[in-house]
Amino acid sequence: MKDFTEKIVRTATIFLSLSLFGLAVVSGSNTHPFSLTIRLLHDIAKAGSQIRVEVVLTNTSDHEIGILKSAPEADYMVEVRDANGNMAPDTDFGRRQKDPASVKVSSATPLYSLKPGESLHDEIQIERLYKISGPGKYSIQASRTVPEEMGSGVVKSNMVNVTVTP
Amino acid sequence: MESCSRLPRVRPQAIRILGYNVQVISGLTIQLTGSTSHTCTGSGLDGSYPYPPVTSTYTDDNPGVGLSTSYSEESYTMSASMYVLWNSGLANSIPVPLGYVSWNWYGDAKYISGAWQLQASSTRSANAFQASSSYPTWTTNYPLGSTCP
Repeated sequence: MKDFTEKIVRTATIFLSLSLFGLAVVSGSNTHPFSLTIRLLHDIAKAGSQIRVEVVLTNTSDHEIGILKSAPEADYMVEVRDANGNMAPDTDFGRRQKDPASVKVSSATPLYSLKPGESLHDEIQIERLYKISGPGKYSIQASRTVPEEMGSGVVKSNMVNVTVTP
Repeated sequence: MESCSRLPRVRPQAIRILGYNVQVISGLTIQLTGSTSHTCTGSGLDGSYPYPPVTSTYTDDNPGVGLSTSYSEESYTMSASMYVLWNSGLANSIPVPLGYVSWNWYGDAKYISGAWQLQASSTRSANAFQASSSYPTWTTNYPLGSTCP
């Protein structure tokens, strides 16, 4: 019985060590100072109604970072695709946000200091950016540009799926 | 000397100290210069009422404009007043103004040899806090998420 218990403990220890090693490798490859997680505030929406997504930006670095917060639809880039992988059509507002000849103007933009592990919550109204008139399943993913002083690049969120009913 | 028990009892009353900030833009002009040029202007309430707080006792502003390589030069000038209002939180109370800070900035950047360069003419200034009982006023709203053009 004692041998059996020791074997289980040894196996569990090896498994845990491998898991932690794997975790270390994954987190070591992530050099961005923050992560993004999105969550649908409702899984099903009626066509033409609000589709709201909560976005959580978390400081994953080991130091304090400053994040500017303006309009969430401007702070974050959002991709909405239908079940075939096609991008949903833009609203006028959404098209202007993407247009390279159109510059984003941030007026009221406070700077939030986030300590390691702290998060900033926001809410994106998808229908402000995309015309989602047809019923079906849509996937949503958000991303945010990493400022040059934080190393540049783009951080992408997880993907969520919403079902739009007629 | 009266004993404490005979002193009139004062019922402790919780008073919430509520601070508000409101920013009013008196003028904002963005000039985009390139093969096609644009000038965008704005004024009024900056974003929303009240102005978003960073903490319960602090806020700040970091206006900015995106730099697009569709243009060779971008400039941004803005003047605004940040008001501080206070509300006791008691029933039927309304926010009362305590004062404001007026400030302005101007930034000019040119896209030269594949990089944006801030021009020396860029400047900013802020006046000292001005105690005032005047309420902020505005007739228009400068919305968040604006673009130019």
